[in-house]
Amino acid sequence: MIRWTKRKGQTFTPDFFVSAIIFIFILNVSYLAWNSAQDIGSDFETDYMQKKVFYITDMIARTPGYPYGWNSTTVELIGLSDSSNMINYSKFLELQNVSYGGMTFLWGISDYDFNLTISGETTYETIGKSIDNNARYITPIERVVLIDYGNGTIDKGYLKYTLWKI
Amino acid sequence: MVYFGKKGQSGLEFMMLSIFLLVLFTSSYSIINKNGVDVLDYKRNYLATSISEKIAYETNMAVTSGSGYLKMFFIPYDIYGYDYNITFSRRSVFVDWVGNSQASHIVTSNFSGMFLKGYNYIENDDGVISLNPAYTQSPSIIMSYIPKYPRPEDDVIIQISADDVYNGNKNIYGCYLSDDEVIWTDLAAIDGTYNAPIESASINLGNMSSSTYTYYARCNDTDGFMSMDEVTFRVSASGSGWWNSDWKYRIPINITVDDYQRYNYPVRLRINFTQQLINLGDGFSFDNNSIRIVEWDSGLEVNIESPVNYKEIIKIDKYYPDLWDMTIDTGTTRVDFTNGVNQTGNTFGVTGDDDGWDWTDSAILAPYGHNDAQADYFAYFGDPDGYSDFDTDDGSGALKPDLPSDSKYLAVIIGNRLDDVNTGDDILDSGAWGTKFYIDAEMYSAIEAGGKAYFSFDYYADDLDDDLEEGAWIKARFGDSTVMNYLGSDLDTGHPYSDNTLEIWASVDNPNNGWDDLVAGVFKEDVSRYITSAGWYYLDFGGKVDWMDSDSNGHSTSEGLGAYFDNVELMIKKETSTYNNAQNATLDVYFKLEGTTEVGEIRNYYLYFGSDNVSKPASIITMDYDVEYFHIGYYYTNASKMETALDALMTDRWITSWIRTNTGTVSPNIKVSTIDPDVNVVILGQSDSPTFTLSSWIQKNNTLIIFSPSKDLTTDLPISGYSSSNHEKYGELATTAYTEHIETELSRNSMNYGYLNLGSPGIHTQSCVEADEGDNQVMISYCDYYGGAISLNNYPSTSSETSAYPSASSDILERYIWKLLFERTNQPAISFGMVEEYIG
Repeated sequence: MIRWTKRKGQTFTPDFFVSAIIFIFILNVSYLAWNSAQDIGSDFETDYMQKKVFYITDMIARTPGYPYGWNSTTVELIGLSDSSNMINYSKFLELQNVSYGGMTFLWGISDYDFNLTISGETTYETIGKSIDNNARYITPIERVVLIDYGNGTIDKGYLKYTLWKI
Repeated sequence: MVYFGKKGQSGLEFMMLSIFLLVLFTSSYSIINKNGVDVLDYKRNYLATSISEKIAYETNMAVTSGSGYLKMFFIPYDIYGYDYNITFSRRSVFVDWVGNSQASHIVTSNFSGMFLKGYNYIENDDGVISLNPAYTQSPSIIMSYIPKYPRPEDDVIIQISADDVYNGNKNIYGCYLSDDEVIWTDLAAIDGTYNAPIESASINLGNMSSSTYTYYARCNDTDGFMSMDEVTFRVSASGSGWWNSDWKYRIPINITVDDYQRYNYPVRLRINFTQQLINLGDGFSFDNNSIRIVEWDSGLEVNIESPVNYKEIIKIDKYYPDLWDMTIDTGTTRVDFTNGVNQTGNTFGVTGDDDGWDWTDSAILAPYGHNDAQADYFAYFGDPDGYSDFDTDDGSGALKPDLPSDSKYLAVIIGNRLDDVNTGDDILDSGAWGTKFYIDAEMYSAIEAGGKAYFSFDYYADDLDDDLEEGAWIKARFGDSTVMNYLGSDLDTGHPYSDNTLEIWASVDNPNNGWDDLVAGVFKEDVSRYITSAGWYYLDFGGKVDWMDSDSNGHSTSEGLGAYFDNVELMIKKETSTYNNAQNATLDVYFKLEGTTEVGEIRNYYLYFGSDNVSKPASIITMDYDVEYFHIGYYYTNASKMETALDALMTDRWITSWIRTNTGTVSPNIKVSTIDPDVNVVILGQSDSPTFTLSSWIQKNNTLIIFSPSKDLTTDLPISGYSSSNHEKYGELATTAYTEHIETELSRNSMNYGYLNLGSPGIHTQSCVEADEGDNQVMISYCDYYGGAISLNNYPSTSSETSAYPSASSDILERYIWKLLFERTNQPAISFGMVEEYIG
């Protein structure tokens, strides 16, 4: 004769549930704390990049650079404007003689990549790398400018600067 | 016996689980905490980097932007609770904090001043980079005052706010007030203590008299940096805002009505603008186009421009050549013969002697024509009443002349001719009185300068027996030794009786019955063109008859023409404007109290003006002068002609409607009496018109036009001078209708001012007259702004007389509506304030 005896489940006891709840709570708190730290870091990165592109494009579009009359070997501050928001096209061409690394150094963006494009009705010029749309952080900025070609022709155009970090 | 056999499995398992979780939590907590610390460090480093890059950016922008660059920017006070330092080395800016440092590149560290935690200013002044120059560290101050438009009875409060938050962020140390920038008064902070970068202070200046005030305030912070501000405000009785900043000056004008309600009431101000500009220190001439009248509505706090107009002050010089009036009669400028005719001889004509009044005492001298079959006539002075006969010297045979009551005049009476009824005679004769006189150099200079010489006299024409069928004239001449010029107009061409000369009056048709009553009139003509130099001249006037005998009735000795003359005057009048925009810009400025002004109400106006330093166009809102006047007019005609005239006046600015309640017959009996305040016109009829109370009406209205064919206007018109059953008497005004130039009558009778009885002087007659024949054409305009009054005497009589001499009278009497313009003297109380200058 087989005798079936009832045995209480050892797992689903009240103790188990209490401990499970505590465990899940601790797990969630840890997860949130970790994630928050990660988000804050990401926010700072984005914020930093936005400030950088603003500073860089502000200097490009509103100042003539430093020293005044700079060339590819003497430039310390990159500025392409002889009057506010008017790009001197010859300076832009001169800037192309500066190496990529030189430009990232001057702009203080050695940990990043950039693309600078000036486009108008009759021109389209770009400096830097091709934009990596898969980058982890990417910050573009576009400004309306006038392009002075120096021969009496002035074009309405756009200055677009894109900064990214993989 | 109790048996405890099994051990608690949950207790062991729970403990195991708890230990496991504790270990797990402890280890994960470390990791998490480390991560959090790393993140915090990252934040601090990031912020430090941001600060260094911010400083570098602002510095580099200031350098590369060039001179004139000024910008305010903010850098944090700490790095998440940690203090930090800013240092410069090797063309880099370093932000150092707790052993960490972040750097950014700058192109120069050569600048004056220091970076501050908080708000900073960076400036590029001719290549010199300055940080937080002193002037940027002073607190900003704003002064204000309340109320917005203060009046003397208001408490004026000045408020000051000081803000140093963006200017160094130091606490405000104190604020001070001064009205002269010399003596400063400490002001208490509103919150009691100056202990914050933002503070406010105020002070109650109390009541202030009408004037313009400027106050200065200064506040300083605990670093000692100080700023100043000032505020200017105007205290005026009306508490008004300035109407237009393009107008630099204004004069406050308050008008108070304290006696009776006024409606659209005209106001006149006389202002010497030259003196006003001198007082203001403005060295330019007055710009009369700049005059504007603006009313300040204190309830709505708005300025409302009012219609305005102005007139120059005209100086009138008058000269009266000696016409040999009696010495005792020289109280007037007219020769009125009250005490006789002055003559020392009788040498008629300009070639005669200067011997006083002359008369044509023989047929040879008949000035206007005669033939052999002349009538007996005489020229007489004095009172022929009682003389019924024609005689060579004193007349006889004629009926008693129908003469006006004032019987001291010159007379020329022609008649007393009996002829055969069948054969008849063509009788032509004339006679005249005249006098020689002298135009001196001063008088002639006045004419040369644009003055006018007006010759005028009263005349009367009497049909002595009421049966004069033929032609009769009254003639006049003016001239010198070269030529005597006939005066008047051509009244007889095309009529049965006519001649080749002008006349004053004529009866030249063939009515068979003559004219029944005395015809009276006033003649006046500008004779300036006949005065060509200083020297001797002559004037004469008289009568003429021409009885061409186609009349089967013949002539009797009782028939004749009686021509009478009185009040003879020759006046030379020169009008000179006293206005000079550089030296004497004195003008009468007119405007209206628009709408209704209640008793006790004060209305606040400003007269804005300027000099020609900045010229202005004339106002496009002008005031109609006529509106300001109280019109009284008289129109003499028959009923049908009056209706025609009224129809023509329907669009006239003085009449917009009328009602005719009765039609007249030959003797018109127009019973039209309309009092309509909306149109400001009253049209009155004859004595049986409804009762009309003028005194209250004229307080509100401006125009009164009186139409009456009545002979006896002194009994029928409300301004006649005495009471009647239907009308009131006002002042000393009598009534007159003029046959022609009304201004003569005004000037000759204008020595007394007529006031309408309102208890106080109400209407001041200004002797300004216009005559309108009903088509808006002003025929005569005469204004004497130096005064003179209207005393109206004599007028034609009934309408039947108009038919007796239609050719002449239709041109004179029946087409004209006479309007007498009175300037109101019962002005409301007007007070002027001190002239104010716009200073912002």
